[in-house]
Amino acid sequence: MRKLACVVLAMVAALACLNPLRASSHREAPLISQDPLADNTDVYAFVSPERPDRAVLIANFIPLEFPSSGPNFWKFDDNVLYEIMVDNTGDAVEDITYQFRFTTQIANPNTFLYNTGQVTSIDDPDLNVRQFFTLTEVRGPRRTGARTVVGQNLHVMPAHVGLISMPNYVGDLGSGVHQLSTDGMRAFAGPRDDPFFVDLGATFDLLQLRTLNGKTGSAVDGLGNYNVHTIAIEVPISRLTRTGTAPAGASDPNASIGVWSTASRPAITTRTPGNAVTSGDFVQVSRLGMPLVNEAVIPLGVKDTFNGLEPTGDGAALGFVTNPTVPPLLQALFGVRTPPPPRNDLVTIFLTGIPGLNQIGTSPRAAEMIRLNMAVAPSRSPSRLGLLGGDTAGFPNGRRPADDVVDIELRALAGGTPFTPAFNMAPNNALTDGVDANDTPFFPSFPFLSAPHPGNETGGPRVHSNPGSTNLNPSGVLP
Amino acid sequence: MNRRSRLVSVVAAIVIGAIAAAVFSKRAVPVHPVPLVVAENDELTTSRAELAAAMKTAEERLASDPADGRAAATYAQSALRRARVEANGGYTRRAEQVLRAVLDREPGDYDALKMLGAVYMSQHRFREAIDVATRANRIHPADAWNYGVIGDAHLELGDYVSAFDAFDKMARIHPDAAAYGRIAYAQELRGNLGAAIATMRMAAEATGAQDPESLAWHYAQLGNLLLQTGDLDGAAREFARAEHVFPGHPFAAAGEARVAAARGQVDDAVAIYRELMRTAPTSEVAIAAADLLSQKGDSSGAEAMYARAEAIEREAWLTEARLTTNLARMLAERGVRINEAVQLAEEAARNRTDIFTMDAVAWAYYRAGRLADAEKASKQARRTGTTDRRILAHAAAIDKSVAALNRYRDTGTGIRPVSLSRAGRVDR
Repeated sequence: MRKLACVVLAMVAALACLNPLRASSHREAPLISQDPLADNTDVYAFVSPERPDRAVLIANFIPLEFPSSGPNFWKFDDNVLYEIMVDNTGDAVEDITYQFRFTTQIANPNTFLYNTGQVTSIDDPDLNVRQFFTLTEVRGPRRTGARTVVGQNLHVMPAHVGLISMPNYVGDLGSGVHQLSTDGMRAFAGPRDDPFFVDLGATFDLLQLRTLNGKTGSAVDGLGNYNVHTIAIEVPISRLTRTGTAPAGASDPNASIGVWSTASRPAITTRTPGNAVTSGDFVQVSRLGMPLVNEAVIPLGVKDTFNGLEPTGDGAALGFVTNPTVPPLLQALFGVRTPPPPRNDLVTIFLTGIPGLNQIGTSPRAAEMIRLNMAVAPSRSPSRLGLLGGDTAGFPNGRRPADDVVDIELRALAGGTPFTPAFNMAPNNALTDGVDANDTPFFPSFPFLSAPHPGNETGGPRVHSNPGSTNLNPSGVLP
Repeated sequence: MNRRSRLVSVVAAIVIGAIAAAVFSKRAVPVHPVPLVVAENDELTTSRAELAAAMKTAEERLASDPADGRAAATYAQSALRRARVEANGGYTRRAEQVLRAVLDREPGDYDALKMLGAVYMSQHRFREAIDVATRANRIHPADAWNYGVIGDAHLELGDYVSAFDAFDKMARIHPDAAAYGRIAYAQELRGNLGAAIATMRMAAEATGAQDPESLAWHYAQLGNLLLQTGDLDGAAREFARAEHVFPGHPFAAAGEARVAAARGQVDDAVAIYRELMRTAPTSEVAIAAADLLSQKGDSSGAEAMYARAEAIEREAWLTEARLTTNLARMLAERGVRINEAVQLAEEAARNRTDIFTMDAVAWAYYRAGRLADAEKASKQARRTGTTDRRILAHAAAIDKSVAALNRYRDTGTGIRPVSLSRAGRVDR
């Protein structure tokens, strides 16, 4: 059969070569299934270890950015409304929203170059493409609430073009952190190293978890050497609570918040009158809260629908969480016995929050967001396994960049948590993809994420995995 | 859409894999390692080299698994882009066969099906494109892609209401570069160049760095729009930008030639067109070159280019849909073989009534002296409110002749209205 396919392909190839044709008008615009500039990758929310009276909210966009993307270096889209939402009442409706809007300025319109010489300061005239952002805080519904501009004309860190163009990116161009006058808030926008870490290749090669079936090997951070675009704010905790005061302690009902991020594009129609282009409304095209829920729990066919949903509509997705598709595969591929549905333990972890830790109020609406108890002090010795590692300041109580959410969620999906004691044993509670940390260390201060990889790096993992490793159940797939 | 799924997900791989392979299928699980995540598109980077590499990789995957719909879709999407940048329609036929091979094995493969609609569209098989995209739309109503195909095809057929409805649905689901580009074209067709320029800029802004071919396409369209407004410097800048992001893109070069011609730099324009005829020959380029050569007085050179244009058109009919609009218009504008021009134009209009076809019909009738028919067709050509210079120039000439004829009838002076040999020509 394979030989036949090759023959067919060869014949088809020959056909194309033999008959070069006219081009048609091809006036139709490119059809693209990707919208990376408005694509959320990850959201982080944690109490700042640098200033523990403040919370840090981070949202990343533009997946898998090649550092060497010239001549069109990645940037935020001026048309996209990037937002981070906070729910401090547990009703799955945003109470506070931080909106980022961008504008691009070209210093020299007579050249298309990103930089026209070596760039040694953020104001260097050789930096030809510059972005600036306005940060607005909205209290109440994000489209109709009370708006306060808390920062404007703030520079965005540029792309790290390469070590010749930008020989000392951090030292010369600065941190990109803006100190705002409102309540001592700080803000950042710009490219960063993608802080997510996962053995992407092995994971997609039928889940080659290297702790199973006795296999070992060197895992690879599949997102190593890739960049993302980051928006980040550091906000006094008291500014985020429903009462406007800092919580008295971890059991204070005022202590927990929910956080998620979206990207929205302006609504537009063919029938806009006059020279107007958009209606001024926005269409939400991407959404992210808890890591991997969109990817792991929501079926592929409804992802776009989910991306457009408000959290208040997440009840419709409850069935995907109570009866997830991943555990049966773990069982089928590796013989890992997992808890039977309905998985109310996952509902607690992903949709309602953990009572006594990060549940917001007493009867929270099920919704997909990161829940953070802001009264839990930052850990002095953080565990990458967060709560499963005994570190209550870590995921799923908020999410820090170093939290190993892949391992944590793998274990949660397998039932390897205290919520399901009968399954909280090896291998369920020891599942791992083998990548325990990011490819570059995080900064100790805001915005914490590492500087972007320079353009002279090509993107992609730095290290090659051992090609012969496999951990598929040798006796067959079904147990 | 969150594409991140490629990542981490221990998961996404699993979901489809579990269902499709492990649990319900008779097939043993581990034989299908790559294409498990079917609903998420492969990353497509579109530099010239990457397009070729993507096709090669997809071919290898198809050789390993002939039912790999995702690989076939990746192959087809890359092939469509190459067809555009190399002006080689052979790629689209190859893409069709690859997709059909998958669909023969897996008739329900959504990725292959939705891409087949786009391939039909590129082959000018508009009704088939609508059929396929409608089927795909029934499977995934929330996928904006299919509305793009449906709208494109209706647009070519001249059903503008259906086309604009489809584009509006597309933009409601996901207003991104693909939707912006289409809405910009709708605004252009409606004669709203200011809005079209602004929307096309949004489309370019919304295009990621990984897709230089799309970027170049959007910049080139911006250049075309600016050219229509008379902003030659602005147009030149956009065409140069298109060339910068995708060196050798034929739309950039064709735009630069149009700017040169508009500036009176005819030799420069002809040189660019000649080079394009070597690297990415199209009938449109041949006609534009021939018109300029004719303008220069190089009649033999012009004749040769017109002949090439006709040959390209006729050759296309052997393998693609028989679209006769371009040849009809060319003959009518040249004032040669008018009966054949009328015949070809009428044939085209039996299949589609878009404003450009109706303009060709109007002009063929006009050159044949059938003023009443020409007037009627010309009104059809203007029905969207277009500001297309050629359509308006043809219409002005037709209206002028009709008015003169009416005066002639009223006054009985015996003076013929206007010469039909030179009127309505538009320099391109």
